[in-house]
This record gives sequence, structure tokens and C-alpha cells, in this order.
Amino acid sequence: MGNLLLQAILSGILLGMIYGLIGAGLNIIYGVMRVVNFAHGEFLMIAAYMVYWFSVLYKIDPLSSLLVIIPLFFLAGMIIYHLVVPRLLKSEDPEMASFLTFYGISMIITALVLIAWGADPRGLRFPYGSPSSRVGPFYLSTGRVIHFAFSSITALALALFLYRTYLGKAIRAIIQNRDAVKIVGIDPNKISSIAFGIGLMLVGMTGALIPLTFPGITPGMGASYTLVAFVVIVLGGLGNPMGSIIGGLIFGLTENISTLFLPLALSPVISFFILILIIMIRPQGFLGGTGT
Amino acid sequence: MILTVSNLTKRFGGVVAVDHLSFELRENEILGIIGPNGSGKTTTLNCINGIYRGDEGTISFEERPIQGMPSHEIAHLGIGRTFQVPKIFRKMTIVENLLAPVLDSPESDTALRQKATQLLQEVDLEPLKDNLGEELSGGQQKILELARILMFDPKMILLDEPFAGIHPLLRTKFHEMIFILHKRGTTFLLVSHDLPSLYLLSSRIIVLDNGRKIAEGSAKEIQKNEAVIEAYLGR
Repeated sequence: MGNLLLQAILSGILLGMIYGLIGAGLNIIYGVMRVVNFAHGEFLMIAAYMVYWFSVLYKIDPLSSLLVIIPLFFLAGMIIYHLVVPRLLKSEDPEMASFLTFYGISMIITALVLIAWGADPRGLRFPYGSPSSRVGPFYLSTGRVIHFAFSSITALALALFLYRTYLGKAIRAIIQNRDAVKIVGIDPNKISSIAFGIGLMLVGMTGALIPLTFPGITPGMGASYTLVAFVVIVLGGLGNPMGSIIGGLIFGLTENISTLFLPLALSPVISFFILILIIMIRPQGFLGGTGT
Repeated sequence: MILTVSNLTKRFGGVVAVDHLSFELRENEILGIIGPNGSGKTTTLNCINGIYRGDEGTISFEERPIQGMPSHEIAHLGIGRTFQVPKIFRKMTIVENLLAPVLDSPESDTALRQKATQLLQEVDLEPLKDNLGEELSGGQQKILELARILMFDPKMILLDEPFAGIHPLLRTKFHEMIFILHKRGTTFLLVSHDLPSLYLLSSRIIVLDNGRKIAEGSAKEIQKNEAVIEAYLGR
């Protein structure tokens, strides 16, 4: 049991960091604009499909695909911002308006992918040697280790960006007080479009490495990642991008450890259970909200 | 004239918050605005710095129309603003509060940090520079808000109730800061209920009631004005 528990903890940490990065992207978007991007998981799914097709058609491995995915998703985020978000922010209830709009966008993306590539799950042959490796008594998925390492470096880079650069400080400032940034000369539109770009870039990066971590890519996979992202940002604190990393780790650990004690069929319920529990006992999340 | 407000009117539904208000502000002047609650003082400031768009009239800053411009562009022209309830970045450190708005500044990183340190020294907040904004008292937050706008060297500063609810020592500090900045050439538009402070600082005062200007003049003239006494003491 001791080894099983340690194995679950290790897996939980590996997956938790990945979940954390998915949540961080969603949290930056929510924090800066109060826009609920309910299509977050679908953008992840698009990145996963892109990597799959890059691999099948051009023999490009997932890590190399990032050279295309990162700028492409950043740019797509900025374009989507300018097309959709300013109109949503003018509505009486931007959160509800954005929730409904992005829910619609998620349905459209899923349907288009389904039409284009069908419902059959697709997967990549693991491109980096053995798919699993033994470390002492533990077996670890090499894909998850790679994804964890990449996510950790990205999370560190995100923290440095948010806390050490003037653009990062401006993003944190707008998360905390949108009115105050306007009167000190910061253009909220410019910062918001960059923030949307960063949010989509983060989810694109995670999605690009998803084929290394989970076996099947399907058109319907996005919804479960959106749910994970929401649980993670509630755990870490709404509007607190770095809190999402902590939220992701808590979620990953809880999800993996619970499988030791609960029937596997209950696994999908765990995320909802955690979400409800946190909203009831600590609605501001573990690290507090709005740009801590 | 650095600022010309002409026939400014702002309505909220059926309520006329500012009613055909006109006044001018000379360069390096300290102009006070007083008036009972709801007389349109803060709404006037909100129209000048682009939070609201006036329904009628014009506002010009240095002969350039600014009516309808977004707040961040108005700030770039050189108009700074503080609020009755300070809008600081509560979860950022004091020094970060000063550095967050400098994104578009052409100055170097070293110069900006030196400027922030110097400003914090001037307002006596330097020892607290690594504390979070929310850890400051209300009065200190107001001082921080003033220091933050000084990072972009505003030509004109709009102060909304800067002395409300602050410790007398901090009020004196605030007076001192206004005098120093005024000597350096900054123009002020000062809204306050603290009449002794306003009489001390302002060279000229305008009085609003129900969105209209009912008097204008020096502190002495205003104190003797019948319409002002009536507006303050009731009819």
C-alpha cells in the first residue's frame, strides 16, 4: 500500500502541474477581463489535433510542434479577443454573456472537428524512446515526465514574467483594479488582448503535449479539460494565475490518491465534489483571488 | 489656459448631475471646487479624465479637445487623478504600485526604479516599499495613489477629497506635497469638503450646487457669498 500511495502521489504531482498550467491560462483570461472562456478545453483539443496531424503528415514530433503552436495560439488569442471580447464587455453581465458565447464557440469547434476528422480516437506512437520508465520501485510515464518538466519550466517563466516585467506587472494590476490602470495611462484593451493571447498560448502548449500524456484524442475531449480548468482556478483562487498551479497540484493529487480508495467509476465525480467543497468552505480559493 | 470646461452637462437618466458648467484653469493654479453632497463635483472630475463622457459642452486641455477620449489617453496627455476611495493595487507591493503603470515609459529600468524610490522617500513611504498596498492605512493609500501618478510627471492633477478621513499628520504631509508640486509647476483641481485645507491651498474656488456653478472667487469672497451660505446651511 505504501508504494501504491507513493506512486499515486508521484502521478498526482506530474498531472497536477499539467492541470495547473491549463488553469493558469483560463485564470489570466478571467482575471484580466472577467470573461469566462468555456471553450478553453476545445482550444486544447485543437492543439492536440494539430500536433497529431503535424506528426502524421510531416513527421514533426510534439516538442518541435511547439515552435508553431506557441506563436499561432498567441496570435489566435489576440484575434479572438478583438473579434469577440470588447463586445462582451459592453454587455450588462459580461460574465454570463461570455459564458454563453464561449459555450457556443466550444460547441462549434467540437462539431467542426467532428465533421473534419470523425469521432474515432486518434493517438501518436510515442516518439521519445520507451513510453514508460522505472525509477526505483515506481513506473512513470515518460510522456507525463516530459510534459511535467515542460509545464514546470513554463510555470516558472510565467511567474518571472508576471512579477519581474513591466508588462507582467500591468497584467497583475489590471486583474486587481481595471479602473485604476486606465487613469494611470495603461490601455486596458491592449493589455487584455495580450492576456487573451497568453491564456490561449498556455492552453495550446499544454494541448500540444497532451498526446504524450493521454492516449486518445477525440473531438469531445475538450469539455473534461474545461471542467478541470474551472476546478483548478476555483481551488487556486479566481483571478490568481499562479494560484492555479497550486490548484492543479491539489487537484492532481486528490484525483490520483482517491483512485486508491474509491471505485474507478467515481473518478469523474471527484472533480465536481472538490469544486462544491471548495466553494462551500473557501470560496476565495487556497491562495485568495484577484491577482495575489 | 491649461483647462477649459465649457457648458459641460452630464445627465444620468432624468438627473442632471452637471448642468451647463463652465470654468477655466490657468497653468500652475490651484483651483478648489466645493459644494454640498450630490452637487456634481466628482462627476465633473470624472468627465475631465474620461471616466464619463459629458452629454453636452466641451473640455479642452492645453487647447486640445479631450471630450470623449479614453482615460488612458487623457492620462498620457498629462492629467493625473486621485479618488476619494483610493484605487491602488492592493495585492502589489508599494514599489510595484509605482512601477505597474510605467509600461509605455521611454525611461530606462534603472531610471524608473530610482524615480520610484525617490518619490517614496518624498512621501515617507520608502521604509514600507515592500509591504502590500492593502497593508497601508487609508491615508497612506491616498498618499501612495498621489505618488503613483507622479511617476508619469502629470502637468495637472485632479484630487478628489484627498483629506477625507485621514490623520492630521498625513493631511499636513498632503498639504506639503501639494505645495512642493505646485512650486515645481503642477496645476491642481482640488475637490474637497475640508474647507480650511481648501482655503489654505487654493488661489481660487468655485462652488457647485445641483450641478451648477453658484459662485466663484477667492476664499474670502466665497466665505461671504450669500448663495454659498444658503447652499451649505440650507434654505
